Amino acid sequence: MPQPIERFHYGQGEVLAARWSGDTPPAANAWKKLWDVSALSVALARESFTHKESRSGKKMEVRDISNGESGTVKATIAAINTHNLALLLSSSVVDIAVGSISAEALPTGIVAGDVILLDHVGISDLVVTDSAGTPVTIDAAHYELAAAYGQLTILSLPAAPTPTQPLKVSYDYAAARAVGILAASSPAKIALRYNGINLAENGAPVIVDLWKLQVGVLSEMALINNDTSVANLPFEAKLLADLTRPDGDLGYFGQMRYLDTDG
Amino acid sequence: MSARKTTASFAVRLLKPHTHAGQRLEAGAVIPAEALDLPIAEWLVKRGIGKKVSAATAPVAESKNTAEE
Repeated sequence: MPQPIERFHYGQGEVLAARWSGDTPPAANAWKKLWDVSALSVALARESFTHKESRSGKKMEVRDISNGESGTVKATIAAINTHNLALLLSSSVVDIAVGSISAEALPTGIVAGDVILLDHVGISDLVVTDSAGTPVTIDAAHYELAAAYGQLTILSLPAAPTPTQPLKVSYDYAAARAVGILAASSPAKIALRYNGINLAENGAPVIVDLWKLQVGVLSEMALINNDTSVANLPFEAKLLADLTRPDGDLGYFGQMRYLDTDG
Repeated sequence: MSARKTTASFAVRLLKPHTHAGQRLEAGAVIPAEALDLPIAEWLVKRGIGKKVSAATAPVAESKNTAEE
């Protein structure tokens, strides 16, 4: 084998993830882009213990015995979409179809100034009616709707005739996507692919596969921001051995590949 | 406030899935007149969520009742 070439690394690139299904590795079409990932690093560790001899009187170490191998992957995900959130919130993406509701009863005792959160968001065509024997429609001047948030603020109530409570709301709601929080019974297991662009070597490709990671839960996400940078998702995962891999020189954790044979 | 109206005199057969008074209903289900305040019944029809049917229509999705208006 020839001498290795001198190669530096200054990386950018794209990161993709694919979920394991139980103990089954991801299918080849299960990959999802994580989009903008502003930092990515891998740290490996080998635990060991040593044995010191006792016959020389110097207690010299004579063995270093491996006691396990492990790794951690850390990333900073700037792209905050439902897929990325689901990974870090140990949940899945739930699609909520467009729909409509009628006669959703509000609590009794509504007074002017009350703020009401409806069951859905993305509200349109809202009407408010009362519960009188001959029901009436409350004029829209008596309330204010923050439609996107499904938030109804009662500004006033009609004076005469006084509406009979409970008031009822009917409305259309938009399609939405939701992600639960810690909804899954166990953390997500994923495979990770880094399609690296090595700026130190004219953008040469660097391909890193990590075959099995157990994703940690979201440690922090800033929801109200004051810094001059966008919010991000800190990602941390434990590297696990993929024992479905065949025995071979590449081991069980992953591989790094370069598109040349002299590096 | 709008003028007072009378209670619905017709039932509504749903044309699409809908939730009424907390109950999830599929397309084809009928909300009976007695469960409908008139403003809400009119809203359902105006929104294209359902269509007017006879108040006598049975409140089941598979109803073959032909008394629709």
